[in-house]
Amino acid sequence: MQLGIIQDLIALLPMENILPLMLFAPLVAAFIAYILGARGARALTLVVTFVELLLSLVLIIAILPNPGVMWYEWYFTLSTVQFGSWSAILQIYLGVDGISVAMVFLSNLVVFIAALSSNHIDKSKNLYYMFFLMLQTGLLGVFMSLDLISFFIFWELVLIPMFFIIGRWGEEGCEHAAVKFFIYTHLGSAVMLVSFMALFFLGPGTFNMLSIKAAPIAINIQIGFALAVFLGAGVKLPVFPLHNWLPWAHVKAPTPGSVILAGILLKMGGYGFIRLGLWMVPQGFARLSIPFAILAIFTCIYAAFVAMGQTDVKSMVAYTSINHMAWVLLGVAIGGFAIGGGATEGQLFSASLAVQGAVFMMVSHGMISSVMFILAGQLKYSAGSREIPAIRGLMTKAPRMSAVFILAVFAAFGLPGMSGFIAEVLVLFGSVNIYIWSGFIAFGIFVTVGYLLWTLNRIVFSDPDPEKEVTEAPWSDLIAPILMMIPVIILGLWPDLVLNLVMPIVNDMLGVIP
Amino acid sequence: MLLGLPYWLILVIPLLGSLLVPVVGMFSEKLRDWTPSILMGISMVLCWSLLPEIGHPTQTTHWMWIEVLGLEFEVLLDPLSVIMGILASTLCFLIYVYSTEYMAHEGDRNRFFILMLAFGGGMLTLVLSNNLLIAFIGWEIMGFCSYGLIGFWNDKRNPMETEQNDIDHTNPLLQFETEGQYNTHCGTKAFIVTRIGDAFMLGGILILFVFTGTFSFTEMAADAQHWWATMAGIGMLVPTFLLIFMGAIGKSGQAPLQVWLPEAMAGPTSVSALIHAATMVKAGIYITARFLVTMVSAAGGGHNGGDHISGLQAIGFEAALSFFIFVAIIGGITALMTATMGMVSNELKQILAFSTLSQLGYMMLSLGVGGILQAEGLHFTDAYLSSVMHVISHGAFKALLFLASGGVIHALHTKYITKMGGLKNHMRKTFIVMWIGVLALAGIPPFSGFWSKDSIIEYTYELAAHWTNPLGLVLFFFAILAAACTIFYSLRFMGITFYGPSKQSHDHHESHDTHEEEHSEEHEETQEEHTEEQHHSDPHDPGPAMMVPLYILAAFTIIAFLVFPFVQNIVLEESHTWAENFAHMIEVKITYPGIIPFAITLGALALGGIPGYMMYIKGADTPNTWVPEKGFRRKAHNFLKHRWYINELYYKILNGFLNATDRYRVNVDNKIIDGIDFKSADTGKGLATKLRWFDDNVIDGFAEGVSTYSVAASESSQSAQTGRVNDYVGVIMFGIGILIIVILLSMGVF
Repeated sequence: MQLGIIQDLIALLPMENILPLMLFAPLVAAFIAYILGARGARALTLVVTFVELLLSLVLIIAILPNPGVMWYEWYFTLSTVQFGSWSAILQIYLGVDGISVAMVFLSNLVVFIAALSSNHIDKSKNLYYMFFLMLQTGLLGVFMSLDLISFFIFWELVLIPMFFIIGRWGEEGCEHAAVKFFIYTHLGSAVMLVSFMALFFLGPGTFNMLSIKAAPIAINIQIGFALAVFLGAGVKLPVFPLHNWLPWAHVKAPTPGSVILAGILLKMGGYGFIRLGLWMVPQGFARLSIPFAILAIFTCIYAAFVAMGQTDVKSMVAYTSINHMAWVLLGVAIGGFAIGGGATEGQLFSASLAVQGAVFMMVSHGMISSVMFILAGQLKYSAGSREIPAIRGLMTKAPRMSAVFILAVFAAFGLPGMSGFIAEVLVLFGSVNIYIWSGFIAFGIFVTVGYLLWTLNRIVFSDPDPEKEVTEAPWSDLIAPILMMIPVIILGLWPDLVLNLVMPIVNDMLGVIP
Repeated sequence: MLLGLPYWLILVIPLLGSLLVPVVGMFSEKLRDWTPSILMGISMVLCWSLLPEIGHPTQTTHWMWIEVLGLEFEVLLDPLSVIMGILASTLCFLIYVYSTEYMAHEGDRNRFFILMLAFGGGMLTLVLSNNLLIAFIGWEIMGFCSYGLIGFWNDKRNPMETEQNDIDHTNPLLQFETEGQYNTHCGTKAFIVTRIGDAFMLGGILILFVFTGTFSFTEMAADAQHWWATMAGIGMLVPTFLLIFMGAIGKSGQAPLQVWLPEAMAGPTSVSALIHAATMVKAGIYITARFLVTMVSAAGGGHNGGDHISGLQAIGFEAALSFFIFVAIIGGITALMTATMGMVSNELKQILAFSTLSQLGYMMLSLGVGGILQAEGLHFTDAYLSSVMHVISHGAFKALLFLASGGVIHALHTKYITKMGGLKNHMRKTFIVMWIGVLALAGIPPFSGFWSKDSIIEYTYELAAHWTNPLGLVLFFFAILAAACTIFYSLRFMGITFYGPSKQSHDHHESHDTHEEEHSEEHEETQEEHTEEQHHSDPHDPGPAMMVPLYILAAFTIIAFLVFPFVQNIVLEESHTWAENFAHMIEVKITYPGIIPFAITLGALALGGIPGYMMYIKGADTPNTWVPEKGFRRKAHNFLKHRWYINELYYKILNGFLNATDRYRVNVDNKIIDGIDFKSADTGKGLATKLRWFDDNVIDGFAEGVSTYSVAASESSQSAQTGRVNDYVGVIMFGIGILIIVILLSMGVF
């Protein structure tokens, strides 16, 4: 690409502090938003999220020359605890490589779109936007952290605003959903926290991820740590049987809440698997490759069938998310195989494809599921209900909205030309070469296509019910999903935009010599 | 390229620009109509600026598209590509300008202009790409756009326009209630017939890829010694090239897939012009020429050197020879067959379509002949030059003819020449440019068609004279005969359309028939009565946006002989001066041995031209009685009118096939296969319901149960909190007692 001039310009900027700037700007803005009151809060949120989005683009261009190494490392020491020869340094330690930047960009994109689609929030707006911006800080922090302590702080920071957004601005029954969300995810992270401590004492005696990655750690400890990460990140991803908070939280949350939940919170799980598992304790993770792969395939097909049985559109989309995130786990598990040693060159290459596919799937699913959730939320306003049997003839009554919905469904089941297809193809290419039986996950695609098209048939292409009032969605509600479809199509046609970022670090991780 | 812009802009501008058309349409209808012209104009300028860069590009020609899959895009800047690119972009530009006025009163112009612009973009993708697969993408873009454009008027509700001389079809597939249905059918037909060729072509491309390991033309040519011999050795060379050639047959309307082009006239005239002159049908010629160039360069050094050809390579040359014989035969047959069909058609644009087919046949013939000459080493190299010339000259004069006839159809609201007549007084300017086009089509010196067509005939003559195989004579004969037919039908439609009495009227008279005397006389009388009252306005020449492209094309058609020497230099990469080439061009015609084919051609022109002139121009005012009601001439006429029954045969086969599939559907598919499908879908839904129950009650139920029971347990333990001191003290005493017993036990007291 012709980026030379832009890169030169960016080099002139004081980029060393871009990460803390991006990280703490929303946090500061959150408190200002609370003071500004209802109207100002929304404007401020839109501006801040948009600026963040631009900053993440700058970040991408800046690191593009060499996305395989850590960029812009920055740290702030909270405290140093010393006793004898032991010393524990608790610090906020930031740094980004290609995968992190891809996720940072995704977070900012999804948060911006969610902010756009927050136009139906009408009570305690300033409080809502305060939580919203705090959430953004938490999300960015997770993807930027290079230290287990700061990782955990931000990981937990995400929970609290999300808990309130679900519980306070959600639909009927949202309190239960919020508590359920909190207990599930908190239980997972509690286990993870214990494992962080255990790793500190049993392992290299540091919380710095880069040092841990470099240190030799006994294989049993690695496996134990990987299992704990599996619990923490597996709840977020989610995998069977830890997934039941997800449909509740997604269905009961307000639309922007669902968008953020599906768009990025699930990606924290996938990112956790890659960063804490595959990247940090590769040898331990490699031993778990086969069980993870089996679990992923089972989750994919299981979730597809359960989604088919749903009658609420939002709930169906929620299970579709589970179904798609299973691909991420599969891709990561395949990556584990390659690290385990004894892989031929071709297998290494396939594993690299699969892990790239997993990251691509996170990006792609983050965008597609956002669109799906916004539209599912919109159904409530346009058709008065989200129950599939109650909505009919959307195409006749609301052609504009139907068009976007159809496109989103196509993207969701991976129509070629959209990003979902590339993701599935990459994972499938990679995995089938390594575990031939993992091709069975294609059955999940088959079921997914089936129920998504069936849903289209039932709600979009059916004959309209004259008794029911269905109104067209206004442009103000459609602008967010339409904007979000643009990168879906661009990435479907030009996947290298993401893959170029991801490939070097993945190859480095798996030991592929390109 | 110009201003140092990247080459891919040439094709990306029209392709992406087509998406821009409706956006512009939101702001200004007028600007929207001009958007394709403007964008294609930019592409055209860029294409022209490639001219000095042939063979030595000044910038990178190579871009990675999807790195992981190794898909890359590379621009090919060889003479063939650049000339085709210039031709296509220039003609597209003129046609788009023409369309702004021609389509000005039609509805749904968004769709029209999107497809038009994408069409041009597809052609530029095809000709400029060095990657066979990406070229194929451009090829398919054109296929799709042609489908949309030929059937553009799919919504017309009026019944089909009929003419007394029409054939009555019995086949249910050929019955149409409205014109819209017919138009849709024509679009679909064009798409399906070309798809048949495409399917074979894709197979050929993939087989070729298996052996060459590359999609790139230049790499194929460079590595030819290797795969050429391998493929020839196992006899795959000819089948593979024939498969790819099938695609060219389909797109360029060669026999036996020529059936779609005459029906493709259902679309707006500018579409016909686009398909015929600039883009679609030329794509097949281009691909064949591209393979000729590739094969020639593959053969290149080895064959001419003569001493180091391996055995397998010799087989390869044999294979190439048989491939080109096939190409030449197909071309020759098409040229003659479709020219004869054109002699009896009564639809103005259909006649032009037949003429296109026939000229395409010439081009194929020339490619085939060029290949044979090359493979046989007969020292008449570069015969494909005449094909390129003919592509250029045909592109110009056919665009001219179509656009001019579009003006006629626009003015008269009929597509049948039998309902026209006497227009030379009303549409003077159109009449003149049309004559220029027709003279070029017929190959009258010094118009452009003469130089290119005569050069094809000349090469065919060389083949006939030097090749030991008598097939050369047959091909020569075909070419000569087709030339005679061409001038005959050219004069015929000019005569009927522009000369003779005016037949245009707005009422529903029985239309005129070329061979029934009584009818025409009655008609003329009524016509005269109605002239004053019913002609609200006489047919008149169209406005400037339609006429200016015509003037440009006409001017080119006349001065083409001044341009061709340049083209020759470019195509053959020679460095003769213009004057040398020009002198040679003239000299060949008037000295031995070139004068022999020239004389024969002139004879053929006289053979077709004199009867045509006598019958239709000189005798335009008297009705034509040359074809009687019965007898051999009538039978021959009917045979040609039915287009050799080829089209109808296809429909008959298709209809039979559809009936058979319908029986299969009713008897087998509905009962058995569908049964299985529905059963498995029901099973899936049942499974989904059960799993949902399982998820809600067992998985979720377990988690919820844990919380419910722990809440319940804590609640039930509340009853212990009575608040009465006596109870607490009792419990404490009880506990202390138990503790004491435990301590005593552990101390071993008991």
